Amino acid sequence: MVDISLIKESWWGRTLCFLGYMPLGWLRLKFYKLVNWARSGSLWPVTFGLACCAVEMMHTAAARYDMDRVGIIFRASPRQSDVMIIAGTVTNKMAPAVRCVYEQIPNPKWVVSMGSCANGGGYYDYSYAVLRGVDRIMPVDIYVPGCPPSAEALLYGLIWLQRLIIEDETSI
Amino acid sequence: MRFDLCNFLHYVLNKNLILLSESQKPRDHLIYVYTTRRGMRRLLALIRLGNLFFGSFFSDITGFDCLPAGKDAGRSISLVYIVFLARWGIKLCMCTSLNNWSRAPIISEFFGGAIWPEREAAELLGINFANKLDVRRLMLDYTFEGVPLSRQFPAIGYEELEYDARLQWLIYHLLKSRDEAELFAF
Repeated sequence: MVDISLIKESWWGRTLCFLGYMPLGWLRLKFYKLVNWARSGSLWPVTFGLACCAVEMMHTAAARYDMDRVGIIFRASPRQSDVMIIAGTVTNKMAPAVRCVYEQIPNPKWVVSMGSCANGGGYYDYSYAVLRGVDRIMPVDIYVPGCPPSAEALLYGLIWLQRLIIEDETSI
Repeated sequence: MRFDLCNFLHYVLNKNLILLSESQKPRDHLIYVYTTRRGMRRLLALIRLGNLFFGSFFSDITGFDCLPAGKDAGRSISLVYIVFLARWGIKLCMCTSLNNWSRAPIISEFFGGAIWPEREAAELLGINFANKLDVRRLMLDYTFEGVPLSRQFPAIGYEELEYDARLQWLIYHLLKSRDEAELFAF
């Protein structure tokens, strides 16, 4: 019987452990990449259009830019989606509903803030009834600037989100 | 005999008509009438129920804060009802004054489309309506306190909303940078 502490403290023991662990780590990494590739290629957002940016979101889903060709299909239920696109102004009255929908999305989930109102209050930043940025109530992964951002800009942001998901090696 | 709307208004409102001068005769299809609350309700009922004003419809309720008369004077609001008289193509604006204690008459009994404007006026202008049919809030948050369209209320408000990770819910807290935002001194 070989003492395990002898293996850990000796140079040859540590070398053997490293060589044995390396293929497992490589496999783990490749598996994460595969899963992240699958997730990024099939992002299903929950429909959450609030104001004018929702029209540009519709344009992105329409024929010219067509989000469906990158795997994005809108779902009416948060339980069946994994990304939330906040398109428009969030008022103080609407904020609890936004948070409630966000909490119903199962993990892993991402949030895209679309438009200057969702990014930081925007045009109505100095209003008494407006939430000054949706990142006050939930973590945001992608900010798409514009008032409204063009359909192409939103598509660019979603492709950036796909890249962010693929390159994530820390979680599964 | 040619019908004269101004004389007719004089006749209807009679003692309740405060001001309708020659300069305010139909010009550019707009008439301003300053009257009492009772006279306004009477005229609006006549517009809705009478055959003479057939086709007329209610347009909007609005109001504005008047400057306080004295140091200890309470808040004074001018309430404006806007009605469009289709038969003559004239927009009639009826204005009356309210203070903190007086209550405005409701017209949603005979103008069904006035329910939402009354809710809006009560919420944003702080107007008390007598026997209001629908007392629910229309636009503002359920816990909101204040009258947003009054002169004393700052446009940016007093509170802002944030998520509290410890309580795991949204909470209001006092606006930190209100002075900086109002003065645009960042």
